[in-house]
Amino acid sequence: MNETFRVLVVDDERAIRQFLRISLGSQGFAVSEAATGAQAIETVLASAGEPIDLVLLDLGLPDMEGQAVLAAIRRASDVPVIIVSVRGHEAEKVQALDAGANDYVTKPFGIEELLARVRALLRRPALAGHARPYRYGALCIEPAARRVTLAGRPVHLTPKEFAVLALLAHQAGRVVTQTQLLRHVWGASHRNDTHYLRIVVSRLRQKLGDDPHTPHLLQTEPGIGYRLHGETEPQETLP
Amino acid sequence: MPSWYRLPRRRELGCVLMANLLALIASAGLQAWLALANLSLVFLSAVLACAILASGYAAVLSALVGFVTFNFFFTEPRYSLLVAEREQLLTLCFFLLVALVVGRVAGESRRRMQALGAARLAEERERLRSALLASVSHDLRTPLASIIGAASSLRALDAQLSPVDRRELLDGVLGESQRLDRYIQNLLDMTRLGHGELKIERDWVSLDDMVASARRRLASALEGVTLLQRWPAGSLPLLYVHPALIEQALVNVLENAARFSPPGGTLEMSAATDETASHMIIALTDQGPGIAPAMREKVFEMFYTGDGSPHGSGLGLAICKGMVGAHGGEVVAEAGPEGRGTTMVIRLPLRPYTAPSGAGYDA
Repeated sequence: MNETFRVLVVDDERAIRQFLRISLGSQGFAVSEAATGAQAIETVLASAGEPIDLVLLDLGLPDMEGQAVLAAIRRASDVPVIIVSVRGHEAEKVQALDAGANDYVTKPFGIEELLARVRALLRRPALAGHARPYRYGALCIEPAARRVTLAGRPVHLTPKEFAVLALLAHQAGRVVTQTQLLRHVWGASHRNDTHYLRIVVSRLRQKLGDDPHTPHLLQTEPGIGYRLHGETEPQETLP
Repeated sequence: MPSWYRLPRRRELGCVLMANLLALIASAGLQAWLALANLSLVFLSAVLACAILASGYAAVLSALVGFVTFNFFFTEPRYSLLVAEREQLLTLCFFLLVALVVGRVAGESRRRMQALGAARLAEERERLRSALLASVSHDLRTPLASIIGAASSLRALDAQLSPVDRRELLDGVLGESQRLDRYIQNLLDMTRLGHGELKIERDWVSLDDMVASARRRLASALEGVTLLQRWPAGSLPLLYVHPALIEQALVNVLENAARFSPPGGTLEMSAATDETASHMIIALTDQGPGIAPAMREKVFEMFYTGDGSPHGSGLGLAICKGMVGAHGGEVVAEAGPEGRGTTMVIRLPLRPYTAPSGAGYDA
């Protein structure tokens, strides 16, 4: 993949746009900037010839609610969106993630964290679909075969455990909200039964040999959801 | 609940004696026209006055004092505590009963009102405190986000950055650090203004110098806008002010105007003395979105940040007003020329120049 990815940075702080333009630019991305929500929507909608490949969206914009910007973008496009927001606004982030944002970073953030999120989102072309196996260290998840192996040995999972793990693996490296997991695995009526999820996650950690105190593989995003560690790839060639 | 078994406080005692003395004088004047039963209402008024002004305890005390006074001065035989007529005895007893009940009830409702007032005050204070915390953390974190971002880029991407990129990132770190410093200065000033600890140390200073210094401090914030000074340098009289404080006020209005300017916008600053040469009038016009007439006073309130937008802390203009106000001046927001943008007008009192003989101190 030698194409240049186009990233739209939406933030009203000039200094933030500046460092993102430079750092993303140095990684080979083509960076567009927008200081307002209206500008952001216009850029996403108007870029028909050279579509935007990823949007970094700050929720605190001067002219309109970040959620409204996200909704307007989502109506027209399924471009990956990473929410950028300050700590303490967990509810807002969850709302945005449930409304179709793909991931988030918390301000202030280091550039490595952001680049990791950006890579995780651009890495998987949508068409790869469910069937692709997930590999990380000794762990291999094969969704099509419904098989999970740890160092070659099969791991026995209940259907719910497998469903949670498969959903996280499908979005590897990205956050999945509690609501999304509960709705997808247990059904819409269990949207608030977060204790189901906690039990399943802790069993998964046990069975997959993850440290329950400082989970590395299956990370908790407090107040938001869970994230399965990004895959180890044979070739790190992005972009 | 207040205890009923205690000695009266001085205020309560004073209130009771004063109210009953007034009731006694009024009753003495009115007794020619009023029946005895109606006269007791005057003393009942004294009980109510005590309940409102002092406490339920004072009201009950007033009921007892009123009972004795009324008995002594107005029931037959006069000037004794004996009561000859049965009807008068009945009036006296009813007075005592009603006065005690009214006094206690009125006192209790006063206490509740006070408790309610205290609760509302505490709630208001709590609201202000969380607004302060939210605003402070937002404003400290915004420049920090840029600093951390730029610094981490410099460290992690070092090899891939061009010298120009590196330079730009470093400038960003510096500019945002200075912004953080300005913000912290504002917070300190605000605390001092709030505690009345701001000492005004006046000196003769030219506006030109203060604007030049403000421009230097705001170099990065003013990048991308053009600031025009519409007066010939050296043409204005000197100001007799605390230079650091007025400079801070200028920094705050300039930073505010720059923040709301469109990219590439122009800020126009004018300064002149008014007709009577009693004030200097400094006006700064931006090309921003303007301020709705109803909001033009609100923008100077602490923590007011427009429609909940994340622009700034809502401290800058409040501090500007405080600084200028401490010098006997005022700041107002007006619509810009032809209704576009905003013009901030600062009026500072002028003094006839006297050659500085000693230190120009002035508390």
